[in-house]
Amino acid sequence: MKPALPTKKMALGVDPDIMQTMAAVKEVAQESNIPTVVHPKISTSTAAPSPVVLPAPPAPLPDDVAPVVAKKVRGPKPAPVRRTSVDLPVYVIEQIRSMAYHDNKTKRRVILEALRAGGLTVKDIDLEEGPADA
Amino acid sequence: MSNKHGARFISFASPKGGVGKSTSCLAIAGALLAQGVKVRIIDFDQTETIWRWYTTSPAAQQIANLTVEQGPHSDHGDYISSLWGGATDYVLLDLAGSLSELTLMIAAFATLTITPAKVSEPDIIEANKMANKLHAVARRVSKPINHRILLNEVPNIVSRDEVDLIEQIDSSNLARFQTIIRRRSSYSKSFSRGTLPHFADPINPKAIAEIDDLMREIDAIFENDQLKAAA
Ligand SMILES: Nc1ncnc2c1ncn2[C@@H]1O[C@H](COP(=O)(O)OP(=O)(O)OP(=O)(O)O)[C@@H](O)[C@H]1O
Ligand SMILES: [Mg+2]
Repeated sequence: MKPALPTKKMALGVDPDIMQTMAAVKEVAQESNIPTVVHPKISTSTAAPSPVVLPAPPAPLPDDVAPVVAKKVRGPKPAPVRRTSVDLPVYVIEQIRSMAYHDNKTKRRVILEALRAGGLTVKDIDLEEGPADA
Repeated sequence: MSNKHGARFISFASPKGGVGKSTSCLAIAGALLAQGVKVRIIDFDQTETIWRWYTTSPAAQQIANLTVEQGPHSDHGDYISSLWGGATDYVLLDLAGSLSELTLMIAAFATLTITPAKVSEPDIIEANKMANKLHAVARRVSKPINHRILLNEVPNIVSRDEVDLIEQIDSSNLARFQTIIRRRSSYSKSFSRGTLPHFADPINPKAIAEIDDLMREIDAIFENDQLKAAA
């Protein structure tokens, strides 16, 4: 009981010719090597912050998101933070920005990791972003 | 609000995972349901985020006018043909966080495709990829496609670089919603508690306000399309 191509009742923005749009999508997909179906991502079973090993390889953060339930783990809390401002050479600021982008990290994290590599105490938990608002 | 329009299809698509597709899908579903319209959510993601949210939450199942189902993971031709004949007011399509032919197909058919992205270059690059592919399809069928980036999980304090990035987006061809969604624990909470921001107890008025702002922008896109179609 599959309805025939419902050309009349289509939503706005939908091409009247379904087949034409499908063909166009297939063409674009083939041209750009887009797979037909992507296999489900292997979900990581924990959202615990991964330990940071220095010097950190420029591994991008996984695209994957940990299951929502895993977020409920209660653990130590990050230390309180305070704003501070320092004047840095522009080329250093540029490198921080660039490293953050390439490693898919926050600039804060890039700076903290570098400070830790330089011998300062920075706890793993404090490398993470600040708390979300309520 | 008049319902004298065909079903409206909103797809949530991004080549990148974890950007907030399911979260924004549910937030928008809640806003629509609060307006009293019918919402049908189809979860195309094999990770079944929304399907699990629904099937494990008695509260979600009790929300009037909401239906949630799973989409096919393959062999989708017939399904897509029949889907666009459906009559529900709003159909929200939550897609997997990867670029596949199926993702592109659903997004190309949707009345509006939303790509959430954080204010970070990797996210914007991926959103741009989505936009490019959609526009490539649109060019082939000589029809415009409604695609918008939704800046999501924006922290309360935005750095100079982040402001720069937003300016770059605005001076590019990428279209984005003016409304930005903040990082709020109320989004992740309503998600894990099996409810929707608009139906949470207590609600977070700030979250509700930003979702409603977003809804006004979405409505404007639909109204504009309708005017064009009528002309
Ligand atoms: N605005 C926000 N504020 C706080 N947390 C958020 C926000 N948006 C998303 N999140 C959280 O980020 C995580 C990923 O979000 P979500 O599952 O919606 O992404 P997705 O794009 O659907 O991911 P996938 O590609 O895996 O389907 C979730 O834990 C969610 O609770
Ligand atoms: Mg999702």
